[in-house]
Amino acid sequence: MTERERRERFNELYTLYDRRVFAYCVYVTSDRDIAHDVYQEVFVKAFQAMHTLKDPEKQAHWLFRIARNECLNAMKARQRSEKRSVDIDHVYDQLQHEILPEQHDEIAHLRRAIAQLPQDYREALLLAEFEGFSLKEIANMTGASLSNVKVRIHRAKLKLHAILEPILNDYE
Amino acid sequence: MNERIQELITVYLHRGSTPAQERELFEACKNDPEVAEHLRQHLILSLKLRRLRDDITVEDTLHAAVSRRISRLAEKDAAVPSAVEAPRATGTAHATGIANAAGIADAAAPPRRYGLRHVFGSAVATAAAALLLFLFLPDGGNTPPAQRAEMRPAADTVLVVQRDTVLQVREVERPVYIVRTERVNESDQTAGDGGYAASADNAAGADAAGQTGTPPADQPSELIDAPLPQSTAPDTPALTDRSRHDSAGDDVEGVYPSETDQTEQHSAAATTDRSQLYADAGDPTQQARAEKARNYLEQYNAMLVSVESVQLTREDRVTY
Repeated sequence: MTERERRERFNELYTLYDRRVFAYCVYVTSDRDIAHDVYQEVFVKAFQAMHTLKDPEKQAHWLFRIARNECLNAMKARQRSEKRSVDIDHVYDQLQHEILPEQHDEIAHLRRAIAQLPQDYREALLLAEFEGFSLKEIANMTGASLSNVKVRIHRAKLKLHAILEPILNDYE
Repeated sequence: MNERIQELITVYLHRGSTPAQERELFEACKNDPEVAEHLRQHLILSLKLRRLRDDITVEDTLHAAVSRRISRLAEKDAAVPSAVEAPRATGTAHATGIANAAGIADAAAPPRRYGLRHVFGSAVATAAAALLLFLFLPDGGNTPPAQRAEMRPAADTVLVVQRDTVLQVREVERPVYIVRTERVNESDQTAGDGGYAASADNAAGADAAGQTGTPPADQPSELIDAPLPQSTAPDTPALTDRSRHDSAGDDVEGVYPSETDQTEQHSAAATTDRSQLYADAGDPTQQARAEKARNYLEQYNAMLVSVESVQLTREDRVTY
């Protein structure tokens, strides 16, 4: 792969997935500052490892696997340092400007509900619902068994349903 | 809600269901409104989560930061020359052909990292050489340079001879004064000198301290006053004191030049002394004859000793 090919493929990947990767990082880490750092690292590592991407059809899987690893590393580092406290409300305040006023209550409620999920449930749910990965792909990405992934997603949804019952029932 | 329906909903929402599973789920929804409601809530949740994802926007500053880092990385990679490809071993071409035919991509060669291996290799070699040198040097190379200079063999050897007996063998490294002691006439003798006078010359013996060839004026009297050693055994304590070699005129009594003619002169003086020593004993004629024979023998021995032992250079020898 020449340098030019590498750059072209990276640009294509970046255009397709920049928002999705950032959203994933924000919701998995529940910290916008950490998400900023992780987002940069994900694309830098993707650029460095571009020659290892053999099958372009699996580039989403490949990229989100990098993103997942980087998010886990960042969260472990945060736990080690314990200098940062996960303040979900602070994250929501940062995201205020991105939300329309009429959607504010519902989306804020949804974000809060996601943040309350255990990390492995949240991760499986986001990969499935945000990115539309199949159960097999998620199992491959997370290293969990297929049945375990099913269980995680199912339990995550049950919890969300319990939290979001009023919204879901009022949905027209 | 039974587990089977939950599983059907999950696989349906996540692209994992087969046509048979989808048909089973729709039949369940048609027969049971509760299942249909459950499926609806799942779909709404998925919809809301997708909307949540789409609400996120990446800031321009973040785009710029990523772009900067990628550009810097690309420049850095372009600056590094590509690694030299190692020559393929015999038979590798065949394996490559098989791999190409099977559609197996060639694994990217890892970047060559020589590290500091060669530096460490030469450092080890240098250390080993230094160790060998240290071990094989005499006394581990600890001898100061001045002492090492003293360890060299002496430049010259001087015999101290009284009559025909070698009293001392001394090593000299610096020019020495060789003084001949001789018997002088009573009329020429200065008072209280014990019958000896010394003449000293040193044609080429001026040392680095600027001393002239002739010893200082007080030295002859010292030489005269110093008693001649009577024993034939070498005076070892006096010999080992090397510091006394440094002065030009010290302790030179009885040092004779090794030339044969000088030995003859010495023997003539010795003969005079012996005649006095044996004055009271027996027939003077026989004694003189025996003495003469002994003198010849002594002269011969002295000559041999002188030739073997005295190795002064031509410049250092005393001219009479």
